[in-house]
Amino acid sequence: MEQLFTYIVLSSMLGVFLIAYFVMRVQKELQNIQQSAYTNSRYRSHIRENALRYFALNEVILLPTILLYQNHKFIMILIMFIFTYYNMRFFTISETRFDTKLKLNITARVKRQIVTLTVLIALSSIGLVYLGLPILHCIILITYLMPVYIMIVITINNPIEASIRNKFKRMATTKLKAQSGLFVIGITGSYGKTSIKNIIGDVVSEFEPELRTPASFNTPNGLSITINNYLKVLHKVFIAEMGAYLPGEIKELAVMTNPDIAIVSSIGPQHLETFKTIERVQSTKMELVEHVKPKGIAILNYDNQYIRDYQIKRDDVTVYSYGMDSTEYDMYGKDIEYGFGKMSFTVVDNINNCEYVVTTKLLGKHNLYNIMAAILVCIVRGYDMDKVIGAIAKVKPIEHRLEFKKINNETLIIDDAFNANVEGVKEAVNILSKYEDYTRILITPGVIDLGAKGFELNQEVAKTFEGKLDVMYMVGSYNEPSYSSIISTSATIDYHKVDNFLEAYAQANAITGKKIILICNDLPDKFN
Amino acid sequence: MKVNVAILFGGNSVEHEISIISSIQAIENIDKQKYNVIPVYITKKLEMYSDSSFTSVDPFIDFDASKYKQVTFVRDGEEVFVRQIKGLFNKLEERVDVVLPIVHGTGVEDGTLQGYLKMFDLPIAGPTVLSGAIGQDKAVMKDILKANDVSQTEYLWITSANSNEQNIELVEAKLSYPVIIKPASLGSSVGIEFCNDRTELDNALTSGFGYDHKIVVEEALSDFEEYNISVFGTFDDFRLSAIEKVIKAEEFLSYEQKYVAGSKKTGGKSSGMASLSREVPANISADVKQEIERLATASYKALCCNGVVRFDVLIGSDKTIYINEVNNVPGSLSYYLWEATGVPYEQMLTNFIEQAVSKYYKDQKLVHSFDTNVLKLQGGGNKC
Repeated sequence: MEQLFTYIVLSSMLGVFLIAYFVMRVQKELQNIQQSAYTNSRYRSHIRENALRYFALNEVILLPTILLYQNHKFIMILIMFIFTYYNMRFFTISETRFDTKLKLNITARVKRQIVTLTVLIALSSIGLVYLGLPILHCIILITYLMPVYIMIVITINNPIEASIRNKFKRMATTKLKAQSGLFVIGITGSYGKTSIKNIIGDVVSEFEPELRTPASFNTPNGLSITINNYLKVLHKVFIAEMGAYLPGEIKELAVMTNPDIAIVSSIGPQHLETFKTIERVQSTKMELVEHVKPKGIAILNYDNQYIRDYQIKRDDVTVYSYGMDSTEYDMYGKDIEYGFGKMSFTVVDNINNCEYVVTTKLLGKHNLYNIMAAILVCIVRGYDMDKVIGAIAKVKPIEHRLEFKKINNETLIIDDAFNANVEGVKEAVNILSKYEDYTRILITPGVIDLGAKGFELNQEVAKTFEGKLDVMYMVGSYNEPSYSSIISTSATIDYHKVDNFLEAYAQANAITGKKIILICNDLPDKFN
Repeated sequence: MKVNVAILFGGNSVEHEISIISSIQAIENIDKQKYNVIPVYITKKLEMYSDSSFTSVDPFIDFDASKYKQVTFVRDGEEVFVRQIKGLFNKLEERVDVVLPIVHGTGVEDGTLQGYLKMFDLPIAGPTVLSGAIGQDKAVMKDILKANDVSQTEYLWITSANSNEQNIELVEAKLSYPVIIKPASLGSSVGIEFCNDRTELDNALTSGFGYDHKIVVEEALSDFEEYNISVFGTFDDFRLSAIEKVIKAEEFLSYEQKYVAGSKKTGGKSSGMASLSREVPANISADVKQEIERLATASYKALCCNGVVRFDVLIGSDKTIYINEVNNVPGSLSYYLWEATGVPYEQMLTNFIEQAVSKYYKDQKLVHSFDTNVLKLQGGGNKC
């Protein structure tokens, strides 16, 4: 009697434990599929990269063990406890590929996925129990097969999602067409598009009401939401950032918004995992130019070889080129000078045959490019150039993008935590190098999400560091081999490997004397 | 897609009817290719009604509320609407993009209506809460102008906390007769009286305190010419209109002369302020013109004005130029001054609305960035 009671208590506890683990796994996998942009192929590569986690023999061993000890209930329950606890631990330690700090965002879409998932699980558990599998075993089995369930959910839900998205997209397109006087600026590029969008937005808003796509709402759905919910009849300019993971995606956005101006900021090896080749990145980004409004304008960064070399198929598009490499461009920049938290340079405008001296709080050579693109937009819109230069001086840096912070008289920080690309890191270190009176410290985990070329590209970044910084803290082990292979031989850079940002920051702070700390590509939770 | 402009008029001020006339003129002249007008009439009991027939003065001659739909302003998500209060079906509901209040006087022009509308967070043409409030209180207005060294006639302000005798003493200590008394918070010449001696002042104060607890007493100029100038824009970017000379029949413009004379035939441009006999542009020397413009500019800045404002300027027999009044929502929106400056009324209304929109978006930039709104949106960053 007493034994039966203990058994019931133990199995209920186990039941609760298993369900908790089950819920955790559902949440985790929904988060993973969300970060895989709801595509099964990306999700599969995530599973492959974390194969050990998914195909660990836990459950594989667990099920037969349980069956083997069917008649020894206590041993069985004990084994189940141990394995479930082990699994829980296993899945809470951080995974590669995804930013584990990005929580699952319960959008309407995720809610619809949960509905489908619930139906699927309910049906299959009824089936399994009917076949005679004990309920606890059933939970274990379903938990183990969670990724399969998720992929089935995606297969079922994606066509539904597509039709919902199409409806919103049609609404947005209709609304845009109805607003005939609206001037649309489309911006794409492997990097720099968010910065350009914000600079243009800040400057344009000094002259006329503008709406820009918020944060990184750069997909057809993000644009639809922005247009449907936020575009007002009073807006005169719409600035749309356009992102792509696959060929055809920029074309879709361009056809949807029919831009007056197409801006391509850069073409580089971003998202090579989905694009495979840089040529496919090139043709995808340039889809924006190919689908600009009839007699539209393309504002192109001609210092980028892929942009310069691209042959535009249309002949009615006016190209305004900008860059620093040639005085032949329609607009070129020169003579960058750094001050305390600001930068100034000269822009030569070959369209109007004049020069502007620009001062800005935005740092870095890339911002000179971004500002030139913005100035070209202003020229097209016919704004007063003196006011434009004044407006540029007022533009504030985006949070965590080369943001200057004075901690105390001894310590300066350049917060570049959102910097996540090869050129960006090189440029940030270039800026750091200008502060020769300070101990120049870099804290970074390197550049991630670069696919197979990651090792070489990070090495390439590391090679540019010589003579530009004094101390480097390498965070984590993901890119450590790339950097240690190059920098460990350096006589001038004091190289340290640390486990996390806080450790790096604590060590950097302990350095005495005037110091400047550049934080690249890391978002410490406890920063500020 | 047209911009929906709600034109508000009426209210419980003494200038209720003037506001109706000014608004009907605006509705007639607004660019209908660009704007879709939603007329919103505020009754003297402060109820709001909207109807497409509110495009002439006829419904207001003997307003029958039971014939029309009572409405209110409502913010619903990202949009603001004028929405019918009662009824189940076919409820009137119009999206409002911009509000253009053409209201005069206490309770509406004085920042009250502006404050109400500001709560809905949308572009509002004309005065701000602050400039409306300053402009409606002549005592505060004069003190601010004085602090900014803008030329005015000698004045002081008194309150009903004192007895008439005490007030007369205060006046006589500082000013000499003749004087003009003005209730601090009324416009359009209402309650204004001219006093040549103590007895007249005593009577005038008694009736004046019936309008307001605060009265401004000014030294009257024995002989003067009156000029008007309009300023349009906002503190950092504004334009000046042509100057007009007001041809006066009596010692100063009475309420009847200002609005009623010659305006019985309502509607069209022939009524209201525009119908007074006037000389535009005024036949004045370049120096005088420059000085009037300088005073208007200084006053516009000092009084934190916004939108279309009219300044009334006096020139005494000694040729001294004084600022006399500010009208934050001038009768007929001073369109006749702008027409004389080369801006047709239709264009002027377009500029007025566009200035409001531009100010709204610039103010938004100061207060908060768009990013704070983004927090309310969910999921876009994840390609959902």
